[in-house]
Formats: sequence, C-alpha cells, structure tokens
Amino acid sequence: MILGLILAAVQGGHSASNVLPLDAIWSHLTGGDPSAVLDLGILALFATPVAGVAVALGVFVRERDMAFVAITALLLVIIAAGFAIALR
Amino acid sequence: VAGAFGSVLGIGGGLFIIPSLTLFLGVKLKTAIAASIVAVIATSLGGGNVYVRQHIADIRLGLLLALATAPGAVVGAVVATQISARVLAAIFALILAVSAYRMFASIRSRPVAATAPHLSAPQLPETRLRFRSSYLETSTGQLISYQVTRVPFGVVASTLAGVISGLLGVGGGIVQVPVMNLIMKVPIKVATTTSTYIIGITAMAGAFVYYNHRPSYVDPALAVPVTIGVFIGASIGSSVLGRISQNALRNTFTAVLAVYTVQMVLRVFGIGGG
Repeated sequence: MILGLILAAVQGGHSASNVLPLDAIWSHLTGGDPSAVLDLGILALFATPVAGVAVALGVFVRERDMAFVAITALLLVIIAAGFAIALR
Repeated sequence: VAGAFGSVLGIGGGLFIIPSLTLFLGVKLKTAIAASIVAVIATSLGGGNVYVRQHIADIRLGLLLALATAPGAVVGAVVATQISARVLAAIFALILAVSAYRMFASIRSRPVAATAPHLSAPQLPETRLRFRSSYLETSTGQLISYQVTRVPFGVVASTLAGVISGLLGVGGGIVQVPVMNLIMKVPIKVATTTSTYIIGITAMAGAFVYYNHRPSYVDPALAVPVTIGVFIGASIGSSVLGRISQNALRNTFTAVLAVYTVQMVLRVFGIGGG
C-alpha cells in the first residue's frame, strides 16, 4: 500500500485532475498511463481497511466468538452495500 | 502536521486539512472534502495499527461502532455531493462549535473517572460482547480498568459520527471521541485510539462515494500529496501518544476545537460576503 502511494507520488506530476472511471483503469494501466497508477494507489488505500476487517473476522472465527463473527460479517455486508450504492 | 495532531487526537486531521486547502490554496470545498476523506483513511491506517499493536484501541468496540458509522458515512457522502458548498460550510462550522462547547463543558465538570473501580457495576447484557475492560496507561504504568456502558445509545450516536464523516470529509472522530468518552464511559485515550481505528472504515465507505461520483471529486494531484503528508504525520503522532498524559490530551483537544470553530465561522462569513 505504501509502495503504491510512493509510486503514485513519483508519477503524480503529470496526472489528470480527475480519477479515471473504475472500468477504464485497467486499460490505462496496461497502456502505461501514470494516472492509472495513481488511481490504483488510491483504490489500494480504500481496500486496506476492508482487508483489516476481513482479518478481524478470521480472528473471531478462530476464537469462536460468534457474536463478533456476526458483527464483523455484517460490517462487510454493509461495506459491500455501500460500494453498490456508490457505483449506482 | 495535520496528521500528527489528527492521530493523537483521534480525529482524522480533516478539520485541519479542509480549512487549509479551501482558505489558503483556494481549493473548492467538495474537492477539499474528498481529498481529506481519502487522507483520513491513511491517518487511520498509520495511527490505528500502532494503537492496535500497543493494545490501547479496542478493536471489538471499534468494529461494533463501525457497523453504525459506515452506512452513516455513505449517506453523508451522498448528501454532500448533492447540496451546495455554502450549506456544507455552515454545517461544518456548526459541528465544530457544538463539539468545542461539549468538550469545554466536560473539562469544567470533572473528567470521566477512568480509574474509578467498577467492581460493583451490574452485569449489563452488553458485557457478553466481551469488550476490553482495561488498558496499560504507559505514562503512569498503571493498569486502568473501565466498563463500557450504554452500548445501544453509543451505536446510534455513532451513526451521526458516520454521517458527519461522509458529509464533511472528516474522520468523524470529533463526534466519535465524545460519544465513547462521555456516553460510553470509555477512557479518553481508549476513545481516541479506537476512534482512529474506526475512522479508516468510516472514511473509506464515504470516500468511495466521492470517488465514484461523476465527475469524481477525488483529484489525485491533490489527494495523494495530502494523503502522504497525513500518513507520515499520523505515524509520528501515534508513537508520541503513549507518552502524553490524559489531561494534556483532553486540553489540547478542546483548544484545537476552539481554534477550528473560529476558523470556520470566519469562512462562512467569507462565503456570505462573496
């Protein structure tokens, strides 16, 4: 994640003033567009807390703490729903 | 600098970032909000992880409250993208004023007695959720015990924190910390660190809305430098926290809120004149 940010910073000088649409990032990335790297860094940043929640879920499952397995799972569902609303 | 303060205070630093960007750099409010909310995620990651490792932040409490803050942030962000910047600025100022007053009032009354033993406390239903009940206060070497209270109320109030986070691009710590400290009786240090942990999840939920808005409010050329600065600051701030006393933390928090309030009131008047 930090690497992505550093990379993004290095590339940042010649970026567009707007992020690319999600579905366009991959094609720009393979085309060597620096702003795609930048956008990917931001998306990686978004993904990190979600990954943290997923890890916590794993820990609760291992500890058999069912109340928190439910809470954490519900949180992931809510986050996914939030994404769905944003992408609408 | 914003990151260091933000992390220490359990607020995302957004309240530093947004006025600075809009007042000094002439960035549009919503663009500043989007940059801030992205940076807030980094603050949380930089600070929150350190606190989790030091066992100050309560992850269980954090995850439970995130259930409320995450949907709140999505709602707040959706609203923010729809309403005018002027209304947003006014809300910003209002939130700051209320927060400053609340913290000021809590200083004049006695701070929550974190050290008071709660041995006789009734077995509340929420204790089944096994929240942490003590932490090691490194500045004194004491093990401080506490009991989380009024969990349902805290969850509801956290929804408000989420809405504000999404709406204004802040971490929501400015609401989240008082909610945990004053309502749920969590010691200020645990409240700030847990808040730092929560706001990563909250801000991410809100940031995605700003990111996907057409046209997107996330300007990488602005958001990325701000994020990196905040991330570095947050890492420094969180390593310092262990050596700061609770009272110093509380006083600083209040002083910072007061300064922000003046700043934003000036801003609203500035907009009104222009």
